[in-house]
Amino acid sequence: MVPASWAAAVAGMMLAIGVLGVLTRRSALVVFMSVELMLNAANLTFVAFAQARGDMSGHVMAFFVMAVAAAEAAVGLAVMIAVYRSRGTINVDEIDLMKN
Amino acid sequence: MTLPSLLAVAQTTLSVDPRSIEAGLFWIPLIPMLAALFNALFSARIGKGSSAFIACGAVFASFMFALLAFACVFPADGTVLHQSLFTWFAVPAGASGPGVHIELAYAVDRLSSIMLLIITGVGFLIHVYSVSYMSEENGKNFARYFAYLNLFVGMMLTLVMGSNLLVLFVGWEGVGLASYLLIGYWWDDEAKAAAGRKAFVVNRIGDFGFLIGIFVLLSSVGTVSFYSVSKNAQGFTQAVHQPILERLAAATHQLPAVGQGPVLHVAGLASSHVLSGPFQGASWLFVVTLAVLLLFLGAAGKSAQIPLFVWLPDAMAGPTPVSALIHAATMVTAGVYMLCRLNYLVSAAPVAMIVIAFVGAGTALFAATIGMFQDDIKKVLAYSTVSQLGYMILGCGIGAYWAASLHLLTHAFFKACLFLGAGAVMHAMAGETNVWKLGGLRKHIPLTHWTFLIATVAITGVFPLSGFFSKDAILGIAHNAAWLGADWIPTALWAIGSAGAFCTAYYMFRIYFLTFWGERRSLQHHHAHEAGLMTGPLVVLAFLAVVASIWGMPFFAESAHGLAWTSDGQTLWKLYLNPVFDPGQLSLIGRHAGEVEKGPWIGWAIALAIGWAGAALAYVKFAVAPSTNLAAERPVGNPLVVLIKNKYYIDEIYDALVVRPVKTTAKVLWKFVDQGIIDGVLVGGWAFFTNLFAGMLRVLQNGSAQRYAAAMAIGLVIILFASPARDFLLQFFGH
Repeated sequence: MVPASWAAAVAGMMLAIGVLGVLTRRSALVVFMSVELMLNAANLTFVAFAQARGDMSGHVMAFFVMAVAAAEAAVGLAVMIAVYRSRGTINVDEIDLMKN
Repeated sequence: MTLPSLLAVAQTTLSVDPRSIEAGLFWIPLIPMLAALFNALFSARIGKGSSAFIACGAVFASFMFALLAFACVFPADGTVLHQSLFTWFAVPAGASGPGVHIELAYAVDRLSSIMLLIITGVGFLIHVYSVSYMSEENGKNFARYFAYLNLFVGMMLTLVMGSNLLVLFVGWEGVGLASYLLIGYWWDDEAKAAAGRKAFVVNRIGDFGFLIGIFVLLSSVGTVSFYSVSKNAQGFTQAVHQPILERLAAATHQLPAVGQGPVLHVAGLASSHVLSGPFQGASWLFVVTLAVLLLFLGAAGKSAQIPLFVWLPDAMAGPTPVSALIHAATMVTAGVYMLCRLNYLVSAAPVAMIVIAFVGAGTALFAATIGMFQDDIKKVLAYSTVSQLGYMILGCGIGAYWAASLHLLTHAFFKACLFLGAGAVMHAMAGETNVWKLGGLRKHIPLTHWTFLIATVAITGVFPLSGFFSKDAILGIAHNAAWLGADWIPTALWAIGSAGAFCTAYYMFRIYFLTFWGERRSLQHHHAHEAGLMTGPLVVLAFLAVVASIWGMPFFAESAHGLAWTSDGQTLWKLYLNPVFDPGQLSLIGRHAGEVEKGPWIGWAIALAIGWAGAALAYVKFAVAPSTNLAAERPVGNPLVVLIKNKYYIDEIYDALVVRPVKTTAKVLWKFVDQGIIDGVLVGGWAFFTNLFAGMLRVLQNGSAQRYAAAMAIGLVIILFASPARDFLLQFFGH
């Protein structure tokens, strides 16, 4: 049985990697993948603590997050394709229409 | 049938129920104003005939009303028609001074009834004359002219009929506006528009004093009403009160004797003090003197006295009938009317009277000397008007209110006639006003020539025309006045006035001879002719200038049977206006001899000699000498003549002392204060700092989603770790 603290440590690292990926990577696709990583860090935390507490609500939450993430992936990829079609790039540095 | 019996007949036949007239008093000023509104609104749609008919008809209707009002106040002594329409504003009495209650009220007494007849009567004649004179204007401008002219008549009637100083002030400003509009009637000519502006601005200076004078009276006396009446159950006037006079008399403990009206004496004013208000503690004499001097500043502006006369000569830029009506017969006499109306106040302020008398006499001579060397026929008449107004103001300043108002009446007739004659000359000679280019016109426009001659003789003061009696009454009383022991003052006033009379005779006959005698000096082939409606008013005014002398003959006395004819009596005019001027004249007893004593004959002979001497000099110089001699083109050597020819450089002095400093100040305010401080620092400063801060904040909004995300992440970290970090620090330092 893996202790919850280990799972939490792994989840923390995954979250940190995800945050860094979101903040530093230029390709919107990689940014998107980093977001998925952060979501999965949250899922891991939910599941680990649910197991440690013997409570089912954490598992429910994890499934819920997965469902939402799937929907988000569908919409997000569609947005990216649309952006690529109109602007020819999905480099987030170049998508700055909202400035000033 | 003698004159007194004629008057008696007139008195009985003219008895009209005063109640019906009182109820309709407001129509007198309202009709011309409605006509003005109509002409102004529909100027583009109506023909010249309709607008002329409406304008003339309105003034004629007012004239008829004025005649009815005159018939009411004519027969009985002291009758005053009074109509109070509504309370304009009221301020309750308090610690800051006495309360104020101002009504929009009209009053017609013997003085204002005469003014009404002058304004509407002469006004009607000049309206009729204008129909011909302005016939070359297009329809819209024609209607605009009559709208202005009717507005003027309505406002002048408001001025004269106002029952308190504030209603008078409304009319006072209204005629100023109408005058401005009419001087600048041909506004596309820059010089004429500037003349209108000058008139308005100079008048505003006087009006400023006038307004402050009203405030002084309001804050001390608490009323500015000339008349208030109480009525009985049938609606007949039971008692007429003069609030200003009565309150002042009560405040200074000068209760009237039984059966007499209140009179203000200087001694009583000097020994009483104001009890409340801003003038608390000051003597009433000071307050009254201050008020009269301030009101006189207003009169000096409106009636073109030194130092505010400069606008009137320039006002000749307006159409000539306007010069006749506004700048000769009516508006410019408003100051004289106002001083006559407040005669009891003026008489109670001897220092102010000396100022008024000397300003009047000085203006009379000063303007007359300028008139001697002017070459423009209208300019000569303009300076003549300034000069004649000086005589009227002199009359007010010596307490000869009846003589001043009589000169106002006669001047209205002969000066209007002269201006209309000048207009007829211009009309005949293609607008030429330079007397050196006129000449020889008596054969071509005989009617104009004869009426001009009659009016010239009248203004010159030749027996028995009207100007003789009115001017000599003023000079005679000035000579006989006793001024607080200073003997030189009446002598000086008389001498200045008589010198002015000599100049008057000279310049009037000068332009008469140059215009009508000799040969035609220019436009020889121009067909000089008289035009339709222009001759009628000339004849009527010349006739009035002759017959008005009946008012000024000092041969009447009041007896049990009415008026009687005696060789050493009073003038009809004085007897008629006694109810109005009694308070002012009575308070002068002891200071003035007041009346022409010892028979007027010697004074008359001197006045006549002076008048003829001036006329003779003009005859020698301009009628006998060859008319082709264009004296205007000869170089002038005499420095005094150069000085006078240039109008004493008054305009240049004003330009240097007033106009340029004001312009410089305005430029400083414009360039430095407005453009520099307000636009640059205040408005521009706000914009600058807003822009600066916005520039700093703009950096944050860079549109990069990643940076926003970084900011969120950093913020999240701070929120998450702020509390543990504080706990750690607290633990570490272990407070």
